[in-house]
Amino acid sequence: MVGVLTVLAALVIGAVLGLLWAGRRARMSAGEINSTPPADPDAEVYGAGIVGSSADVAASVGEEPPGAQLAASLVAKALADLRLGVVVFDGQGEELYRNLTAEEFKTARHGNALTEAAIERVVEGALIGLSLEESLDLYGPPQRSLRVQASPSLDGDQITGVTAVVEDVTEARHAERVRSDFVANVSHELRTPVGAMSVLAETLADCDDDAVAARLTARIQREAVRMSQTIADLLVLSRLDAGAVTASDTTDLASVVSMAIDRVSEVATQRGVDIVVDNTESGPVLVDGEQGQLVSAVANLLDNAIKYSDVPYFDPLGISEPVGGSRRASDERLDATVTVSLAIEGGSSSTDRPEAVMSVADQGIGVPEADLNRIFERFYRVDNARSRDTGGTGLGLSIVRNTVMNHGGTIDVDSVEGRGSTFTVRLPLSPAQLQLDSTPTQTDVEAGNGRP
Amino acid sequence: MTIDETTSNQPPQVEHRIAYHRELEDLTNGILRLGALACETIPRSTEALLSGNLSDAQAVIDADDEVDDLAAELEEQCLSIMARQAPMAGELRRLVTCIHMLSEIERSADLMVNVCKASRRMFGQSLTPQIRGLAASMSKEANKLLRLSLDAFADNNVSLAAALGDIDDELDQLNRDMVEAIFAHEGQQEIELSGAVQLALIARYYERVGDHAVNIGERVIYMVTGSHEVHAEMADGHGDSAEE
Repeated sequence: MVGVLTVLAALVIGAVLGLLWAGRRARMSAGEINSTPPADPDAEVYGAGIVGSSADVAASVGEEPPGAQLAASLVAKALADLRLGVVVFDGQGEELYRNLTAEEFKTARHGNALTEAAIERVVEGALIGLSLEESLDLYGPPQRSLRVQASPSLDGDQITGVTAVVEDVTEARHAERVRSDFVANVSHELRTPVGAMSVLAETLADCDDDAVAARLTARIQREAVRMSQTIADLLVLSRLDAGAVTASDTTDLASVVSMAIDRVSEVATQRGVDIVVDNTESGPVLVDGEQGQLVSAVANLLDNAIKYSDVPYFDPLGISEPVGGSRRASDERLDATVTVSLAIEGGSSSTDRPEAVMSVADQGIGVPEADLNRIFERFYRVDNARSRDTGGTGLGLSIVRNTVMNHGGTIDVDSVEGRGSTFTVRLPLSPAQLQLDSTPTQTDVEAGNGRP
Repeated sequence: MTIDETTSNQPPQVEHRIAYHRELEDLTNGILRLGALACETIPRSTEALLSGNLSDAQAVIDADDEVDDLAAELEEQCLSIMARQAPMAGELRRLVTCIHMLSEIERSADLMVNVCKASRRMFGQSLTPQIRGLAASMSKEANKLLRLSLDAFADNNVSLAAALGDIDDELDQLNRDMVEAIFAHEGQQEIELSGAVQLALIARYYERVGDHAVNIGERVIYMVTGSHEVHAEMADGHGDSAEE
């Protein structure tokens, strides 16, 4: 895709340069320009006169057949609309043309100022015949990765012009990183348990001691369970990948929430985490979807919220020991709360469709900002050491996201490290809900009154 | 309009002024470029701090030479314009403001170098999530303030410049929260004493960047209005941030 764009850009630029050159020749022969030293401050006027706009480009080739004129204006239009930033200079480094995307850099503010500086650097190189490329990682906000390159246009040995191209490679970089991380992670996740099992089995074969053998078998079992969990999750994911649910069922989100809470309540009690439900709707909140999938998704979010309420440490390098020995006495209870809220939002205007909004908020360790947009990726872990302790497969959030997306919804995360995370799921309301609203009825909502 | 007309019909003095105004414009763009470099160092340093990545930290420290060189070059440019063009009134104020801004911006970038050096010294020590979160928030606020101060300068926006002091209050509050968190976590032995000292310094560095941004705002007010009274009035409300 990017490659195609670049080739297209090169073609278009080539064509425009050719036209510019032709236009310039035509004017020179018409005697309008005598001699213009490039360092003259008025050189810009001279440049702008030739290629100020597409109209100018068209006008400058006015003597040619009408087909060429049309082509020129189309090319100029194509250049202007290109998502690549394109700046064209003459052989002396005076700017002749800049498309709309590149115009932005000229505001010379913040990241754009640095992009403009990079353009100047590569163009300087191109003017002495070098084809340079510079990668620019701007932290912003917003964070962007740009590739800035410039190459000279040669006419024999003469450098007749320079074309600089600025390409936004943020998305491409991200996709590349996701792909390479995924390959590394998936092979790690699948190989580790298999490798462990084979080593354990080998040891077991040569083992005479019953106590040791029992320990080894227990560990083999544990690895097998982990492996089968990972496989089961992968299967769920591939089923979800198959596409949207044929939403035949109408499901009450309020009861989905209470069923999900039932599922995790034991873990919550063990860890001393309270689950509070904040439901602003008195009636049911109906969405179209499979109840089983939705309950799993909500339970998954709750499970995460509970798990990560309990870890007071973040150790990116995994090398430091907690200062002062054990960080928490084993019988000490956390006094953390996980809040599940449910509400119907929107619908105030005709364009704004009402949707069900469910959020799960914890007061746990939170997610570092750099990882926020990556945690829904398969096998992505913020901290490998910690995740292994908590025993997830690394696929939970991917499954949740796919489930939500299959139901036509969205999921977002908001987090400040040390203050907690909030996952917000938005699902379109079922048409049945709208009928329900017109005839209000008092339906039972067990989930509305706190802990199950 | 052709070249012949522009050069022959206008008196040479006008063209002289065109060159002068272009020089002023170049200078403004140079300052904004310097500011952009300084702004970039803030999230960069924070990432180095939070990821514990030594080579990232070193990269920021090394890149500071670029900031210093550009600042020196721009100062030269200012002096050269003053010497050759005899600027007056608003333009003179602009040039003086630029010289002051250079040191404010250059100092901000130095502070981020300090953050990187501090994170180098605390290599291998773990941070509590709360402290990590506060550091990230301080970084974001400091970055925002510096960017806004540059916006105020570029747009001659007095009201934005005057608002910077109030915006800086948020950063000051975060600084107090950070110090509190450091005390609490050191007390519970969740972080080491040496780390706590470094963290307190780091918080101070972020907070100082905010002060530099507020100073830039005050300079911009003077540049645009020509009045120090506004300056003093603005500074009164935020005596702690304006150290002049």
